[in-house]
Amino acid sequence: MLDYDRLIRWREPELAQRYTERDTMLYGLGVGFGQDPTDERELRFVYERGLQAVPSMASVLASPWGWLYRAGAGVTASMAMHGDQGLVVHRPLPPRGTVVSALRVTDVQDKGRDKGAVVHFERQLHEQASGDLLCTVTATMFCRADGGFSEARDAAAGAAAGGASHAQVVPDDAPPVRATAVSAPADAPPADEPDPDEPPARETLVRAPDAVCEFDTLPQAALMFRLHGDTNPIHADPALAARAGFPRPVLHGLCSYGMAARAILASFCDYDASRLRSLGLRFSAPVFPGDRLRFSLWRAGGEVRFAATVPARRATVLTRGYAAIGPAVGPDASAAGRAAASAIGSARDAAAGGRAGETADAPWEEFPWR
Amino acid sequence: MALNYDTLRRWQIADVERSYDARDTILYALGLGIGGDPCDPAQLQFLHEDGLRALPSMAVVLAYPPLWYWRPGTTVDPTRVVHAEQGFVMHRPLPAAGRLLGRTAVTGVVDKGAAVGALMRTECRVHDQADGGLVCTVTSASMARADGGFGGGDADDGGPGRDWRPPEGEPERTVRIPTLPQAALVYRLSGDANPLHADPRHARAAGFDRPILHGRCTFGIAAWALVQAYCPMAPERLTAMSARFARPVFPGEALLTRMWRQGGRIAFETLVEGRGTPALARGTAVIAQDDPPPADRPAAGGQT
Repeated sequence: MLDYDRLIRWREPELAQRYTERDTMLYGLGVGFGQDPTDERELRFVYERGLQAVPSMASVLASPWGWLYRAGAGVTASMAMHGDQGLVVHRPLPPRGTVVSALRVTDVQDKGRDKGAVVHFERQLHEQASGDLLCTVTATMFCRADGGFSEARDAAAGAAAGGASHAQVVPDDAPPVRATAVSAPADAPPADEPDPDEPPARETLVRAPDAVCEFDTLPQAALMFRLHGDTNPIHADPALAARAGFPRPVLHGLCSYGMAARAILASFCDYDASRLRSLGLRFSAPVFPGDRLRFSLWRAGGEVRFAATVPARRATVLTRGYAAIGPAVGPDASAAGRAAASAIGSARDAAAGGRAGETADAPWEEFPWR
Repeated sequence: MALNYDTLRRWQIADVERSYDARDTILYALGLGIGGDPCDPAQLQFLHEDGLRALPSMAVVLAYPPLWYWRPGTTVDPTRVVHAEQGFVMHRPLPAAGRLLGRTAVTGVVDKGAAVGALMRTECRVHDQADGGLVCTVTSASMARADGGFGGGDADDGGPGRDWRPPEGEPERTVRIPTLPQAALVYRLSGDANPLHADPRHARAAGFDRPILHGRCTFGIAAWALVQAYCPMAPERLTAMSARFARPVFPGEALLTRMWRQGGRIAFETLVEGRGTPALARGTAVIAQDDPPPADRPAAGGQT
């Protein structure tokens, strides 16, 4: 039985993570940047010169992977699934640095005994050196076997004092169950109010998307992505994936999430990472490494709505996508990081034209990102 | 300044200490394209922490002194140096994580003539810092193209490929390995940040249409081809390997490694599919405890 009182008060200790350009480039490559290695716009996420962090990388930094199963709150791990993911950017993420965050649970909803429970949590990511708030990362886990906990609570509370529980059964608003067939909201258009919990009105489904982009995932995408810290074997171990009912290991939801960031940066931000202000979506079906994802995106002013399908499997994999985009933020916002990145590049550029004896330094360093 | 043989031959190359962990070992394998079939146990052994193995060719990127000839005073023109040969001999299996010490010496400077250059041979002895044991010997040769014709120098001993002889007939095994368009971008995270492999502008300035793949990446792909062909679940049996870099490879091209058995050794070459040009030539390898597969043996008499 899910222990509501334990879970709702849960606070993870603060974690710090130092990351370098090497991690930032690995993340960019992991979510698909660089598939055309001569496209200089894409290179800005995978090469030192003018390196930018993909904003969604915040979701993998200083994260207490697996915390929900260690919390001792009675969650049935084998039936829990990543539901939603969100991000609000306060200041662009530098391409290197040290960030700190502490995860806290913000809500636990009972969808009913036959539906499950939804655990909401968030992390505020601060830059350690400046103390600046960089972004807020939000997420939900959909715990399919753990609904109905408020019934027992109410019974216990009623027997003890006749009082009402804090936890109420929340009406179902289409929980993130695994889709088994194509479902219509794949082409969810932008709504006037960007409320991710509000499904779009049916009558607006007619407008064609403003942008469509297709990205291949690499067959080894999950093996690459797990180097960011989420080593859940469901993403790597074929035998374990089979026991969990999957034909092969599943791609990390956070990798698909990063691909959504790529779709928006490519479609509406001219590859300027500082223009992405928020990004949210719901995982509606698993993505497998090697899948080709089709993103359909609608834009209304600074608001973007999107969804993604895997056409080859007729599966809708990402729904309720939303993003906010704004004007570019000046380089002073992450001056330290950009200066560090460009120092490598300019040293190289200077040395590349030098002749023997005129330069004491090699044109590049081995392991310059350590 | 002209090359000074005595200075270069006695050049003291600083020792290199290198710690590496499972993540580095996995990233090296990903950089070679391993994991293209994420359900193949022969690939997963290089990619999953449980039972993680290091591909022996990773030895050539660990504890090797980076760009030593760029130090002031070596008397070579470093801007004209190209990597010519690579080899290793394993004395024991490379750990999947550890702390190594590499001690490198210049073992020869050969005058190939003013038109070709000066061939600089080095040998790096790599020790495990945990117990001081010798893990492997890595050999490398680089051609200083601006410094040939200095006169004198060492006789060319041919390096580790000195015993190479041209194979005859059709190869016993051929392994095709595709590379990803972004292969160089992934591989360079293992340490070789030369912009020639990532920056289209640098590549154009060097006379290439687009960035080229690292020679050591091609070498690693050939190692993986040898392991696939002869010891897929026992990579540590690839105990020695050497090859000469012949032509550049562009990321996205597929590589065909053709292998011939020659007594106790394997001769190999690695071609670029479609172009037919060799990327690696005069390749040799040793597979420990290698027995010819049953199909290669003469049919046993009396079989019915």
